[in-house]
Amino acid sequence: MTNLLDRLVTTVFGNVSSKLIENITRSVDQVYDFVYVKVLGLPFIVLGARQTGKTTLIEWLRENVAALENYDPAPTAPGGDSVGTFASNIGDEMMRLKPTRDVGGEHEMWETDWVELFREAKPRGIIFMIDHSDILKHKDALNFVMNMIEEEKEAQRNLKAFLILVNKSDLWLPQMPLDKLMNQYGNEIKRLGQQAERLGYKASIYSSSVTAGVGVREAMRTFFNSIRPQPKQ
Amino acid sequence: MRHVEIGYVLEGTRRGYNFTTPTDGIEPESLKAIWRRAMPRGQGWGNYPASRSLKCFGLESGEAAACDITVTDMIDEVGRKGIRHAHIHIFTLKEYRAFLLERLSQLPVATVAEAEKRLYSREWELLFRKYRDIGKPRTMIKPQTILAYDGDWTFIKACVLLLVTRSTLLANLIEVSPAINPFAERIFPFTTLALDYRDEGRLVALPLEKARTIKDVPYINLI
Repeated sequence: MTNLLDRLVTTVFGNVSSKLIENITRSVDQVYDFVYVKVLGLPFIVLGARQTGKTTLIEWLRENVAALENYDPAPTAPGGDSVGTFASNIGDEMMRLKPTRDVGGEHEMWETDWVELFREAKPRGIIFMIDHSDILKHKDALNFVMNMIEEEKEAQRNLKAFLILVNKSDLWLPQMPLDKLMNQYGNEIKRLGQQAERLGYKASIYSSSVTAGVGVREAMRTFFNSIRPQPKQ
Repeated sequence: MRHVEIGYVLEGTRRGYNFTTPTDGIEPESLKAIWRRAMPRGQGWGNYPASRSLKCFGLESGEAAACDITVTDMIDEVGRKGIRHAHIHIFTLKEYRAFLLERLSQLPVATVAEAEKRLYSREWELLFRKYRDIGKPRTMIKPQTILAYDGDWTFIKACVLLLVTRSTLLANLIEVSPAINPFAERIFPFTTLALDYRDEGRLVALPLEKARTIKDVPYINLI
């Protein structure tokens, strides 16, 4: 689009126009960024097998609190719960976020609730949550999500980032560093990296404990700044 | 009438919410709709132990799904409460009407009489609210009516069942009777207890403490 505009203006006004084009493009990107971050909300979704802390993460983002130690969610039922757009303090900036729905993580919900949410939200980012327990269950879920991204061409178009958030670090980090835990996901990580490169999104892995408020602020800052139209470091 | 259940499985490889009875003979589309819609919405069910909700909605097949939901005392492996169990009955239209009338007749006569009285006193409030808050909820064509209450939930069940089974002025303010309104829903979707109005049917009852947290959406306080 920029190239086309560049060529058109160059044809009409000559080479002097390149600076003008740069300025216009930057301004358009800034407006686009403003509209997403301050008005419409950045569309993202939270997925992961059951009991990994999806509901708690959304609540953490919504409540703008340091920790959620006393939060006591019920298992999310089939169909999930609608979550409206809300403002959240990400890094040093107030951003509007749009998770669309909070869905459950049971196997029965992958084909239904997850796929429908992906189609509906057309997210710019996916937060995929895992923990230290039942590696096979998390591998299955992660492979399902990668297949879903592959198959859902229309929904995948806006995807800019995929964050694996290894939650409950207060329970596993004292015994095992993150890289050792993630070694068990070697094939999945390799596949994710290849898919990210091919489809043009950024994949990253962070550890966190949402309830204790450890690591999650940094992970969210990096994630949301990478899915905004004008990514920031 | 056919019957399925959605329950929470705590053992085996497929833990969590599942269909816990055979689903043979139910069309895939109906099954999908039941899976998505059977449970009332919202978080915080652990604060409403043993509560019961009746949620009804139409299926594409023309049948009605009536879901009896109970908040169980189950606790999952990580200590989460608020686990619900749903008994879902799939009725033809005729069976469904009989089912609603039977449910209403099972309620104490005094409670139903009190509900009638209270609903009658709210007719004008509903009318005024409806026109004052004309843009909320967003659609005027199929608006949602939210009732709020704090107390014995049998009363609110009586209110909702009265509204969906009788063609009173109040019922017609919510939706003009299908007898004269070609656009009326033949199976009026409602929920007698939910913790969030979003994604619920046209008539939904919330605990007052939950309704008070709603911004910009009008509700009718039946206290």
